[in-house]
Amino acid sequence: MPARLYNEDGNPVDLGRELNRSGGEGVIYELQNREDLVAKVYRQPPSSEKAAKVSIMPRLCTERLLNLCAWPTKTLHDRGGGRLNGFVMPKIVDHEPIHLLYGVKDRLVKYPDANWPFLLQTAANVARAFQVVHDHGHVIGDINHGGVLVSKKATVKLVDCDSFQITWEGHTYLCGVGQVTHTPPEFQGQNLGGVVRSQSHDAFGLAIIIFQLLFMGRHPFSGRFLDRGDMLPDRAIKEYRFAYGPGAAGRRMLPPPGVLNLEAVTQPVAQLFERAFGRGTKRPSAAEWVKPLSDLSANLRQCTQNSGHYFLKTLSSCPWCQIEIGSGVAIFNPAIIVGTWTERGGFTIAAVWARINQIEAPGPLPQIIARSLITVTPSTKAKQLKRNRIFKTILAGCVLVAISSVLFVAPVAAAPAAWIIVLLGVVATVLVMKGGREARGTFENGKRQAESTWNAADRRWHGQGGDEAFRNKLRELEKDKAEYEKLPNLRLQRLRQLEQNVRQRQKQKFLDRYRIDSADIRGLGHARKIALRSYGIETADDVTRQAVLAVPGFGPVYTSYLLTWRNMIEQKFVFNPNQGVDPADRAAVEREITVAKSRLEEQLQKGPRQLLQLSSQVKAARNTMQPVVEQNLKALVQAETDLKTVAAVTTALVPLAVVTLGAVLVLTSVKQSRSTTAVDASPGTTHGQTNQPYNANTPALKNENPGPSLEEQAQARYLAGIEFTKARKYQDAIAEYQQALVLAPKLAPAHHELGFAYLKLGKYKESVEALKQAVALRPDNADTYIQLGLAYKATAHWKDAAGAFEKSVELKPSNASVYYQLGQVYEKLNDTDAALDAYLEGIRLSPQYAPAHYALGLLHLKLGDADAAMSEYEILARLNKKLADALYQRINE
Amino acid sequence: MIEASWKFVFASVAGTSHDGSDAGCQDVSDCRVLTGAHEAEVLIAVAADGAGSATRAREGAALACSLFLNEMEALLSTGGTVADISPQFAKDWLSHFQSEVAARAAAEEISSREFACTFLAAVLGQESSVFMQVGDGLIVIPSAEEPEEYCWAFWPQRGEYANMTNFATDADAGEKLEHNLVPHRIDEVAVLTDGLQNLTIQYETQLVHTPFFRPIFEWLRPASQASFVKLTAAMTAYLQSEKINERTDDDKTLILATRRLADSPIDHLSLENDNAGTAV
Repeated sequence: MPARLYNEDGNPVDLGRELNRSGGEGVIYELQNREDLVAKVYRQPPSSEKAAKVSIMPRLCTERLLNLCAWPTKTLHDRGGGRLNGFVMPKIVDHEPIHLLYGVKDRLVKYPDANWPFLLQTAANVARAFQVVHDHGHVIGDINHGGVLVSKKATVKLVDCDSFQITWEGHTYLCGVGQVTHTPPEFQGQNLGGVVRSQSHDAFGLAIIIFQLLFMGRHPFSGRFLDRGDMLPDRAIKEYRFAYGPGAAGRRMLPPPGVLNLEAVTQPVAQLFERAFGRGTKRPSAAEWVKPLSDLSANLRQCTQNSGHYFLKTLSSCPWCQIEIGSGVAIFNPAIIVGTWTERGGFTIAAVWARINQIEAPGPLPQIIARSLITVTPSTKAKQLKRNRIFKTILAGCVLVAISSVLFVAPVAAAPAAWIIVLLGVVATVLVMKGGREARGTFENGKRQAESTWNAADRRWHGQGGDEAFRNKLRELEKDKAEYEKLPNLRLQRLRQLEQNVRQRQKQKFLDRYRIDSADIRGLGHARKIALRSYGIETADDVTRQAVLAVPGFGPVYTSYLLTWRNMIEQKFVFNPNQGVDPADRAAVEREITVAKSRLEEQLQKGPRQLLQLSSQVKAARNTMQPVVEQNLKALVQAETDLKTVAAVTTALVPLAVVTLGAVLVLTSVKQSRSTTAVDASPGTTHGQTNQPYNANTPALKNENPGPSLEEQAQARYLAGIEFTKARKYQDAIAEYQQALVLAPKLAPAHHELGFAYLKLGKYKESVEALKQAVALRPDNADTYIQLGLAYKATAHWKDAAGAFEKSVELKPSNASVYYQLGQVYEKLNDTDAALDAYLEGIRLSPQYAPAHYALGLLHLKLGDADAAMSEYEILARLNKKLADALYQRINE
Repeated sequence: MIEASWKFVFASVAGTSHDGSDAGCQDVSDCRVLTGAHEAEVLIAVAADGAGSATRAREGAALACSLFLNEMEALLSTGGTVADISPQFAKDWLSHFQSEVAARAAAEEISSREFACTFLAAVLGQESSVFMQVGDGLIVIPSAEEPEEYCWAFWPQRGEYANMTNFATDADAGEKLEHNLVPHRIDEVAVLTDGLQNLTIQYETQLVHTPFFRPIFEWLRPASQASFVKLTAAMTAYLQSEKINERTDDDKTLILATRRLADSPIDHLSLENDNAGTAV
């Protein structure tokens, strides 16, 4: 090739170094005097049609075209005015073929920082470049991945412009060639030599390139055909079998495994693809892509797990993570996060950990009030119900007894009489029971409700009040810390591993240099190679028996051809032990460690604030919840108590049964005996006879009655009374005690309690009476004497009071308050010495007992001993402020 | 010497057990003559019997047949020969089939088992022949010593239980796959599925019942491949005849292929008068 050529103006152009061969039809040279230009010189003289096209192209050159294209600026001839044999065009630097960007393996090496937003940006720029060419009325025609170049800044340049279809002054200079994988359906299988193409033709190829950029280099028409036969991309294009999107199955296509699906882009972008690849749809123009692609870019979020992952923010989870986990192959390199704190260099694990340790833990859940400590009395409603039942039971019993008596007197045979009684007994029982059951139902409901409220509250209490979340976060941070501290070791380990695997890695890299799409492999055409790439098989290293057999259309035949090719390359591999670890691999490890370090530092840095927040949340929750929870527990205990009270009523039915049975027995036995002894019964004798069997049969009744005894019933009344007393409902308590005493008149505690209840109500006479009864029945109870003494004291019966208190002290000398009372009574009796002794004894027994000190102080004052009174005041001042003040006032009067 | 061309006929018909039911015929078969290197003819006969219990069995069987034919086309169109069909080739083909099934099953979230089918293939070239089989069914060829006698390529596979067999979709099908590369020319072959098995072999002697095959091959030899439709109709009628149906209620497939020349012309209708089906 002559080193000097001439441009169309006849000026000489001196060629420099040969750069590379372009498309096989020409050679690219540097120019000796121009660094910004190159020359393309055809190896064979171009056809006259092509020469005519190239010769007009410099005239059609515009600023916009030059910005984006290697557009011919001058034609070249071997002599001035001679045949065209080349042209001059701008030199394009720092741009590489686009397939190196969309092919995953190549991208990770050539564009290690390119993430999905970068790919989206590139896609929009490709569309812009196409738009500029279209704006000039030209068609690119032969769209292939060698004709589009991309820089590290995602800018795009179009090359091989001399193959564009150019229209000028009514004449169209054709493109004539094309690649099947980028040719629209209407031209598939046709000879492109004489075909006039439209911009819609380019629109198809553009959509393919954009798809490849967005979808990991996969071809949109490469997938698994669900019906019979081989379905390579060219046939799939011809039959409109777009392998992605919701309609794919309807087109009998299944996308390859482990790919991004069409839902990963916004609806408008997905619709553009559907339009570009669909049948009978208007393909989107180049300009139409720009906005939807930038909108998609604006709607991304970064993955929390891998900083290299960006995805549509409306997706629930990161699709890239899923793909990477599924395939075990990285799609994007994680980005290094440069936080402000790393820049400051302020991170030290010790300092951060010290801050974490300072956070006060909420500690375990505090104890709420114990159930056993909750004392409640039955509610008024429950008690009323209970009284009602008792009243009804008694009433029914009385009625039964009355009827029995009548029947007893009436001239009725024993058997029918007995039956009537039984019948009445049953009716009475059923009636009383029915009411009981209804009442019980209400209280059971109440208890159930209280129970579920309590359970829910208890769950919330444990959930929100527990320190689980705090402890989990702390554990997480401990794990992060441990991981952080292990990083230096991990790094060394990984670097050592590189040394160990150096041979294997070298071989992998060697095999990766052999790309399938530029190799000559038996039986493999372009479409078949694209199909392989769509299933993630890009280089000789990817060729394994299992991987290839899983690709549709690649059975044992093509698999064996590929394996043969790989083996051939493998044999060429010579391990170079001097080469050592590839710096890129070392860099990858360093990068991975740095990313992990940044992530952990960030987590740990956030730790103290997160812990503090959790801790205060728990504390706040506990403060607001504890009273509520305890309230709920109390309500539950109340409901349980009420239910128990009402349930006890049911057992009160037993007496009814006993009465019935008793009446029947009496009736039958008496009536039978009467029928044998006296046939003629006169009314006059009836009375005597009525009394007689009663007395005679009382023991029999007792013997035959297995139910609760009167004592037991009395005990129940008595206990019910105690409940009322505890609730300070003395009137109710008195009724119960009286009932109990009716049933068991010798029940001393009932007398005692009755006396106490009267005392509390101020009914001292009744109280004294009752307490006297109690003393008579149980003379050794110190408490009864105390109450009796108080009752006497209240009615100014000082002597009797003194006697009662003395008796109490005699029985139980340890009760300090009684000595105080005794002292008071002795003072009334003007027995000052005895009073003094009594107070002193009380104070001896219980030095903290304030009233005794007060009374003693007053007594000292009365006896004229102000100093002694003052010393009592001093003691009181520590015990009871009110009494102390009162005494002080008296001293100073 | 003039090379005799292959004549073949094949049919799969539904068994009487599910005639009229929705199940239809679960057998799929195909037979084709492809041209390999040096214009040499290669006959490919392939049959698959879909498992009665599998919901997509027919699809599995059809996929197996079409994938195998695709593979043979790929082999011969890229310069391969019958002798390239090695045991590894057979195993690889099975893996390929299984990954196709697995992808379809995964897309529909069903088990590969739903595509279960047996697999029988015979590939007859000029100088060598290959037979492959997973599961039951029978490939019958003339005996090497006595060309008038017939023998089986593989004894039908039985599964763990009496009425079970192995399927090409089984995880361990690769181990169950039978493969035999015969380095000589074979001029006749019959492939049949389970439904015809009992009529064509004697279990006690483990021999092929030659009287079943001799008359039908004699019927096919003088026929013209141009009358393929007629031949198929006759074969279908034969498979649906009472004589056959009283011996089996299962789906049945029969592929017959021959490149032997007829000794003398035989009346096409003689098939109906022969004594086929008297075996066992």
